[in-house]
Amino acid sequence: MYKYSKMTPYPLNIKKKDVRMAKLIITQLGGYAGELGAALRYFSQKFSMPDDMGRALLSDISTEEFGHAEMIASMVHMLTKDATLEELQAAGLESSFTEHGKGIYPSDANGVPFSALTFASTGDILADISEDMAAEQKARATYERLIDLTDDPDLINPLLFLRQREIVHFHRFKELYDHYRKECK
Amino acid sequence: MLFDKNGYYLIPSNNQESNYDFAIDIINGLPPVEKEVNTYSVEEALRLGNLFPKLYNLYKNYDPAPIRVQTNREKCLLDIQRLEFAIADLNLYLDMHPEDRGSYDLFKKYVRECKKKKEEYTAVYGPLCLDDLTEEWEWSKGVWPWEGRGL
Repeated sequence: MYKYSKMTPYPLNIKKKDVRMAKLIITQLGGYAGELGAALRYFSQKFSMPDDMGRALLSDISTEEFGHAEMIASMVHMLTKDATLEELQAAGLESSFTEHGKGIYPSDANGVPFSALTFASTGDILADISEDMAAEQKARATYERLIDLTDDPDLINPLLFLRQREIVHFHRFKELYDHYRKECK
Repeated sequence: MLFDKNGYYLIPSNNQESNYDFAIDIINGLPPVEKEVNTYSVEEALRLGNLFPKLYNLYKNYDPAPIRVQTNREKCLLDIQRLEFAIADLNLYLDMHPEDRGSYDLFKKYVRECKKKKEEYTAVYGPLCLDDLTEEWEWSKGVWPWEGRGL
């Protein structure tokens, strides 16, 4: 069961509207390395985990990722809510505006909608956890690209926070992978 | 700078142990599991996105800025966000190291502190969770996280 808390994991204080960055950051909601995919990946895989360690870790990281998904969606909303039609057009978002207005829709930076095909749930613990480790590295790489593409500290700081979470999650998945490899021997 | 002249990826020199090398694992067997016993303060932990210094990985030379707040409500909330973060990171650690009693003691300390801070916050600014009780119904009224008033 999930319970909602009315706060973001890391404080957001975005003062400058930036439609160009919003168009790129949305990929961390609906792209292949995005937070929604991460949350659903671990949510789906946790049912295959054979012991408490695996069940707990996947359930808890999945829960954290749902919070990150809301944080990314909030950032995109704050960056675009005051944008004019001209500013949306200048950033190449006419097609997005046609379909979603200023609504938040999980897609990647190219506007391709979120797909559950961006992750797998194989029922094989080593295959699943290897994918989880790769997923965290892909998300880390994407956050680094986003940080490279802006000079606004109000964006860089939360993006650095989310990047570091990928590194911590990767390390925990590595511990779980090693634990199961030892058990499998 | 991250690529050499042939376009191959160069491993950054600040690469730490958290960057896992599958090849080494396959060739040499299991790497030793190390425990992270030292922790940052809750202030540093939220700023860096990490409670355990051993796992911190600097990106280029970006040092995340100290978190600034403007209003008293934001300050009270920041105290909660810091504790919630430390609790969440200890949660993942304890999932993998359930026998570490010292870390569970720290977890309990932060949970108690967080509960107290939430009660103080709720009394003045309304509920953060549905079961934070107030005199009248305030749940649907407050500031929502995406409204961006420092949340």
